[in-house]
Amino acid sequence: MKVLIRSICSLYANPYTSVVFRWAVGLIFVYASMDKLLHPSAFAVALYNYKILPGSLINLVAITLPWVELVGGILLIIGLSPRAAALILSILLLIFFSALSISLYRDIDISCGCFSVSTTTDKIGISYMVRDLLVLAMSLQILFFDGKFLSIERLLPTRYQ
Amino acid sequence: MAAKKRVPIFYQAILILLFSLGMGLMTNALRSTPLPLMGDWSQGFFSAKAERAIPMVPIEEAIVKFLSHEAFFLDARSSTDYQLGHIEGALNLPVHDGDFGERLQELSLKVGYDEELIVYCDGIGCNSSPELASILKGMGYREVKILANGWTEWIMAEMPFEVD
Repeated sequence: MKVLIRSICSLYANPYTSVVFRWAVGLIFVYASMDKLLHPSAFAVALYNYKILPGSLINLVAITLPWVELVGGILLIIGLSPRAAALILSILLLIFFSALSISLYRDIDISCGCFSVSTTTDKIGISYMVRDLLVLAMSLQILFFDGKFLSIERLLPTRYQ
Repeated sequence: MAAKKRVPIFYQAILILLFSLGMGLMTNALRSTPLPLMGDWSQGFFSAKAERAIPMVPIEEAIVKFLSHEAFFLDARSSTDYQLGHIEGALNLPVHDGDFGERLQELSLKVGYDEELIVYCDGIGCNSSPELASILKGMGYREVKILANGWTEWIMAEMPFEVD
């Protein structure tokens, strides 16, 4: 048992694992940003349904959040400032987790707005929180253990890395 | 060898956020119908005001606006109800349907934020038109009104309708 845990830990801390995680988290976020980028007003409605943000911030968040996801995702995939991108995306995932928990606690029946802005599919539930935590685990791994393997940053002169 | 000077990841993160903010604001400004930066959303966690009263429009006024083409009519009922009959020229925007997002996007392409919108559903206490009206307000439409008990009133007034 100990051996198993130890090998899982060393696999998690392995800098090469973070290449896989970078691509996975990167693709997830790029994909998640698409529908929101195309339908900002519908995304604003999804945010409004959570009843968490103050009304005056809803549109601003609906306009900028998809870009943060897209840019963060692309930076992870190409490996440019991957740790900074992972930091931002980890904070986002924590915020999403809190929003999901608040909504489940309040027992309001809303759509996630995670990957699509549709208001009927994607009803939130515990599985969404688990999914969020899994992505968070990958994102934190990149933040702490990224070895810059296969990243575009390797091509830059060291002083810019 | 030059001393290795790294930009701390905290600053890198701020740069990434500023860049995304800029891109978001720019692409929004370039849209044919940009989302207003401050929407008129009536609710929020920190400002839990009662749902802002959306003005009602009496049926007589709605008829005048319909005949003079001054207002755009929006049907908040389900798409089945809409297909069975709706106010002539009205667009269907069912709040609880899956493609609501796309329909909203279509509306923002067709109808400018300055135009007057009249939202209706059916029944005195139907919830979908106030719900749709506050969403439209939040999106930036300035003139949104509700025609209470809209569909029934319309039929009783023997005004033109369409079936499809």
